[in-house]
Amino acid sequence: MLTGEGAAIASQNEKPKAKPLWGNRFTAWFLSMAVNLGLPLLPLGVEYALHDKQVSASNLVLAASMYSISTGVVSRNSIFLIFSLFACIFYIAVFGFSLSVINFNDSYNAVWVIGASFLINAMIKFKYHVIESQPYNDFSLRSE
Amino acid sequence: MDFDKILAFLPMFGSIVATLAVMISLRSRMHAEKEFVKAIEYELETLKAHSASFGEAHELRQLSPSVNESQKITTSVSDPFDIDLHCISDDVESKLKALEDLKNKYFDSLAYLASTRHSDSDVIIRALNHLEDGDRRQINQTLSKYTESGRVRYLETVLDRVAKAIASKGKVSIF
Repeated sequence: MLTGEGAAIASQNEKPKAKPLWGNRFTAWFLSMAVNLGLPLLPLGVEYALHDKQVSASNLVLAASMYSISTGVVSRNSIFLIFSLFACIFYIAVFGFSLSVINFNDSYNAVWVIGASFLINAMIKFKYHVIESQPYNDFSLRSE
Repeated sequence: MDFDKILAFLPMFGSIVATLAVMISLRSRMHAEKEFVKAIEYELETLKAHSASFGEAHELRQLSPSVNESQKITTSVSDPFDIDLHCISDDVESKLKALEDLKNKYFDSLAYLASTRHSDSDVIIRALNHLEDGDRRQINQTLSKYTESGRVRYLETVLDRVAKAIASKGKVSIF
């Protein structure tokens, strides 16, 4: 609290404001991770659960292409966007190839790319939501 | 080497490099944030120290009537002392005026920060100037990416950290 003269000046300019707490910021981060990173993995999880604990290589490749482009779009760095575009197009091409092959089982390290993209996304979102206090659940402020 | 293996290796290599790059970037961003908090803390404490010296000057002002009295007495005894005492009196007044301005600036800055969290506040600008180029670039990037309300929201977070840092040192709370 300001005291004395400072408090008097502050009270003149005081206006109601929403105060983001650490808790809110971490909540935003977790929400963002759950919705943007967790949900897209749901099809793979369902397939893993229903298909005798196995995930087809073509679905892994498709997930890798989706994850890599989402990382590039989220990042503010143009180099990241360019590389993620390359990775995305590469895995889409592999997915297209997988449709024409009967026993396609080479995922071209898609699991690595999914894992790395998840980590990168989590760190980028940590920067946005926890360090820079960007809200996630306040949709009126999403355009900022 | 098999072309298939190269194709499989490249995305994996790229993803590892990208992960490391983001880790380094996040680390440097957090370092910049830490330095920014320290710089604001330093700025506020400097202003507070100047404000404290205002108190000393105020005591001098309390003494100044007695100086004037002695001046009158001295004047009656010896004229040369009269000029010297005038000089001292003017010096005290000008010092007092300067400190009073500084004190007002201190309270204005605090009030401005506390009420608006504006990014063009004197304290924020001076704190940014204390930072190294890399750290300043990181903070400026953050401030430039957001709209005004986004900047206010970010600075509010930073100032909360500053207030906590000052409070944890057992000093008088600012906000």
